[in-house]
Amino acid sequence: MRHFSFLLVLFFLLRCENASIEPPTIVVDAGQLAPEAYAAIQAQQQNASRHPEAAQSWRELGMLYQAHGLDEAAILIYEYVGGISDDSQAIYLQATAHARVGNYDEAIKLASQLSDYIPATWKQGVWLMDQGRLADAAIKFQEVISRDPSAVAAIVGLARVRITQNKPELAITLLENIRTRGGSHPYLTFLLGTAHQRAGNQSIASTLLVGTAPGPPKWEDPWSDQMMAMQRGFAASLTRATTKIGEGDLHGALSILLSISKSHPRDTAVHNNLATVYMQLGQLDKANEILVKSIRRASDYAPTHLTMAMVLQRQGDPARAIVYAKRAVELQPAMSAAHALLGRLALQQGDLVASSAYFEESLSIGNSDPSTREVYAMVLLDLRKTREALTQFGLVLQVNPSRTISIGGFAVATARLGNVQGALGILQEALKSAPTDTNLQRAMNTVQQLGTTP
Amino acid sequence: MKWFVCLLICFGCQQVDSPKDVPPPSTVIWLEDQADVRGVAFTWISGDTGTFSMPEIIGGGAAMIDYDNDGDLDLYFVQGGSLDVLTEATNVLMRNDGGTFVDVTSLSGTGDTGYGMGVAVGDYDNDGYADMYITNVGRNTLLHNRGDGTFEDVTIDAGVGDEGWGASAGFCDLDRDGDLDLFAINYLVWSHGLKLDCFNVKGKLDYCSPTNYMAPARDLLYRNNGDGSFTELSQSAGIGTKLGTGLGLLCNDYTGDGLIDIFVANDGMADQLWMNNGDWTFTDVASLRGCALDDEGRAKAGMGVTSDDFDFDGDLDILVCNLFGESDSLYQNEGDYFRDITAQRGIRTSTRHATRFGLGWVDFDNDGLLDMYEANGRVQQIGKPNTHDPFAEMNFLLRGDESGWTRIDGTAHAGIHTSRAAVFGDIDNDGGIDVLVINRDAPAYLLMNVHPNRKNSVTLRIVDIHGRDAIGATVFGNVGNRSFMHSVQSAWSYMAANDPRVHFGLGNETELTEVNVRWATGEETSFENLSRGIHTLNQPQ
Repeated sequence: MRHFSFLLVLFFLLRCENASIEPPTIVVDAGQLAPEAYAAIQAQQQNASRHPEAAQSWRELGMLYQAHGLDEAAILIYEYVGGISDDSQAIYLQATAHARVGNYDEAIKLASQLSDYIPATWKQGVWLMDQGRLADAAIKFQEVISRDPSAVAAIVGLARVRITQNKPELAITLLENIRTRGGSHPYLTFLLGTAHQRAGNQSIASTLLVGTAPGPPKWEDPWSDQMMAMQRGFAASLTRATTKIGEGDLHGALSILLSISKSHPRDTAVHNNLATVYMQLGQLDKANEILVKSIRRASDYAPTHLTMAMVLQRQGDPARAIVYAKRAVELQPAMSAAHALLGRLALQQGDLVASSAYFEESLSIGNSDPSTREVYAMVLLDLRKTREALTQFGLVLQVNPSRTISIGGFAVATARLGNVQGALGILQEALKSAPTDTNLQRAMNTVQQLGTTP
Repeated sequence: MKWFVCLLICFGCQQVDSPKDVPPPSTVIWLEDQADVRGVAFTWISGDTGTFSMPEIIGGGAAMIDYDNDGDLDLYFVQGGSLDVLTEATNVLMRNDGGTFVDVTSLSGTGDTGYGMGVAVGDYDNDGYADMYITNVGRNTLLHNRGDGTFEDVTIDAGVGDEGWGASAGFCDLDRDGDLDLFAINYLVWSHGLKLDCFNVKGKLDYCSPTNYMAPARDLLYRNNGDGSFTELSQSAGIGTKLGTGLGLLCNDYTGDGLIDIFVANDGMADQLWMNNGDWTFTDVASLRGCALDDEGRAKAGMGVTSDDFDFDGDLDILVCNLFGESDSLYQNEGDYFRDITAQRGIRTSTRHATRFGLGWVDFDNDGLLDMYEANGRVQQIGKPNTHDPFAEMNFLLRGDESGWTRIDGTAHAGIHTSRAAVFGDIDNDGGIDVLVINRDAPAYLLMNVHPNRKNSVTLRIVDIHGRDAIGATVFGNVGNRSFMHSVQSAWSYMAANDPRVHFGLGNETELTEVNVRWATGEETSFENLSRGIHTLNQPQ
C-alpha cells in the first residue's frame, strides 16, 4: 500500500469577500494517510472551499488535520478560521497544536484569550510548568480553582507546582483534600507519595510509591475529544474499541467492533477483540462461535487461540482449553500469558507438577505479573517445595514489599522451615499496617497451628 | 528507496517552519563533521524491506576503544545488515593512525556478522587490553582482545551468548572483587516471524511500539568468574523478576553506599534503578527514589541515558532522553531520592519535538559546565518530513550555563539523517570532546570539536592495579573554588561505549587541584595538582 503514492493537489481557488484573508492552500500526499482519513480530509476540504466564510466547516478541516498528526497544517487552517470569525474552539485547538510542535509562547498567548473554557486555563498552567514558570502556573491553576473549587485537574496541577517549589506540605493538603472527596486514582497516590518523600516522611512515601503509576488520568477536555474523535481509519477505530475495553465500556467497544468487522470481515484482531468483549459480557457461546470461525480462517494467530482457551475455561471445559492454550504456545512460544493460563488450568485439574512447570516457564520468559508468581509459589508450597516457595515469595516482596499474599506465604514457608517465631514476627509487623487483611490473618492461623504442632 | 513517500504540506507564501528546527543562530561552530577527511566511512544498514521489522528502526551502536593501547581512540562500528538474508555486512574496526582511520576489521578479526545493536567495552580478564561485547538481534558476541591487534570470539566459553534482542550493555565491577562483571539489556522478546501490523497517527502501516508486542524482556546479569567465564544470575539477583523494554544503561553508585547500581532506561515502561544490595541481589528502587517516572507520573520511552554531577553537589544525577512529545527527564540526585527538574532547567520544552537516542552530557567548550548533544530520528513516519528520509530529524546541541541548557546551532554537517548512537570522547587528544554519530542508512558523522574559544581542560586516564581503565572509580578535583566529580564510565548514551577517560573543563584556570580518586574497591588515593593536558593516574600497588 505504501508503494503507490500519488500526489493529489487540491487547490483552493476561492474568492473571498475580504481579499486580505485567503484560505490556505495545502497539498497532501494521499499515500501517507489511511484511505478513510484522506477521503475525510478531501471531502471536508471540498466542503469548506465551497463556503470560505463558514468557520465551522474550516475548523472541522483543521480538526481533521490535527487528529492525524498534521499539526502545522491544522495551525494554518485555525489561523484562517481566526481571521473570519471568533471561534473559541479553533483558538483552543490552535493553541494545543502550537504546544505540540513546541511553540509554547504562542500556545499560551492563544489560550489566554479564552476565559470561558476551563481546560484552556489549566492547560496554560501545565504549559507554564513545562517552561519552568512555576509562579505563573500556580496563578493559572488558582484561577480555575476559584471558579470551580472541585476542578481536580487544576488542584492536581497546583499540587505539582507546590511539590516542585519544595512546598510539599501545601501539596499534601491539596491532595488529601481530593482523597477525602473520594479520589483514589493511582496518580493521586503517586503525587501524594512524592510529596511525602519531599517532606521527609519516608515511611509514608515508601508505602505510597510502591505501585506503578499510570500517569495522569484523562482530564475533561471535550473540545480535544471532539478533535480526536475525527481520527479516521481502521487503526483508529480498533484503537478506540480496545481503549473502551480497557475502560470497561464493553458495549461501546462492541458497537465499534461490530462496525469495523463489516468493513474488515477477515481481520483476526477485530475478531479476537470482539470475542474478548463477548466473553467479558458473559456471552460465551457467541465468543466461542466467533473464535471458531476466526481460527478456521486464520489458524496461526496465537492470541485467538489464547482467547479461545480462556472462553473454554469459563465454559467449564478445561481439557479443551488446554488444547487451545498449548496451540497458542506453539505459535508464539514467548507468550507468557498462555503459559500462565496453562498453569492455572493444570492447577484447576489438580496437576500440581504440570502447573508448577507452566508457571515456571511463564515467569522465565517474561511474565512479570506478581500474582502469577504468587500462585506459582503457592503451588510450590503445596508440593512441599518450601525453600523454593520461600524464594518465590521473597522475589515478589523484593519488588512489591506490601503484597500481603506474599507476606503471608513467606511467613508460612518460614514457619514450615522451622522458624515459627520468625514467621510470627513477620506477620505481626505486617498486621500493624493492615490489621484486617484476610491474607495475613489466614497466614497467622496457619503459622500458629504449625507452632502448636509437635 | 521505493518506500519513500513524502508528505508535503506546502503552505505557499505562508510556509512556516516548526520551531523545533530553528535553534538560536550561533556564529560559532562547535562540532564539525570530518568523517570524510579522516577516512571514516560507515553506514549502519537497516536492511529495510518495507515490512516494518522493528529492529530496523532501533539500531545501531558504536564504540570508542583504544584497543591497541597506543593512547588514542580507535572506532568500532556495529553493523545491522539484513534480518532476512545473509549479507556481507559486518561490524567494522577502524584504527586511529594519527587522526585518520584505517579499516582493520579483517586483520583484527572483529567483523561480527550478527544483526548488530550495541557494544560494551571493558577489560574483563584484566590483561590490560580492552575487550568488546556486542549485542545483536540474536546471539551476542564477546570478543577477547589478544593484545596483538587481534581479537578472538570467546562467547561460548565465556557463556554470554544470549540469543535475545540485545540493546545497551556495560562492564562494571558489581561485587568489588577487582574484575568486571557484565550487564546486558534485552529489549523485547521478539522473533522475525512474529507478524504484527501497527499503524501511525495517520492510519498508515508503520513500525510498532514495544508496547504493541506486550513482550518485555529479561535483562542479563553476568558475574565474572575470574577464569574467562561468566555466570548468569539475573533470576536469583531479582533482576529477572521484573522485565522491561530497556534500551539505555548506566552503571554507577547512585545510592551513596559505594556499590555500583544499575539504571535501565525502558522504552514505554517505568525506568529501573537496581540498587546493589552487596550480595548479588538487587532491588528496583526507582519508584521509591523518584526516577522511574517523570514528575507527572508518566513512564516515558527511555532511549539514551547519561549521568554526571551537573550541580556540583558530589553525587551523580541522571539524564534520560525520550520519544517525540515527551521531554527529556533530568533527575537531580538529592541523596535519598531524585527530583525531576527538567522544566526548571529549560529542557522540558526545547527537546520534546524530536525522538532522541544518543545522548551526551559533556563539556564541549571546557567552561566547566556540562553541555548536551542529542542524536535524533523518528521511529514512525509522523509529522512533516524533514528530508527524503521520513525518519530524519535534526540533532540537538545545547549549551549549558548556570541556569540550564539552551539549544544552539553550532554543528556543521551535511544534511539531516536518522541518528541513533552518539559516542563521546577526545579522538585527537586535543582536550576537546568529539562525537561519533551513527546514522540509519546514511554515513556516520565524526564531529570534531572545533570550538574556537574552547577553554583549558584536564583529561585523566584512571588505571587500576590491573592496568585497565578503572571503570567504577570516582574522580574528585577542584577547579578554582568549585569542586567537581566525575565517574569513570564507558556505558552511557545509547548502545555505545564511550571514552572512559574523565574530562574536566577548567575554564580559564590552568590546573586541577586537590585531585582524589575513589577506586571501585572503595580505597582512595590523593594526587598532586594536575596542569591542563592529558594525564594517567595509576592506582598504587
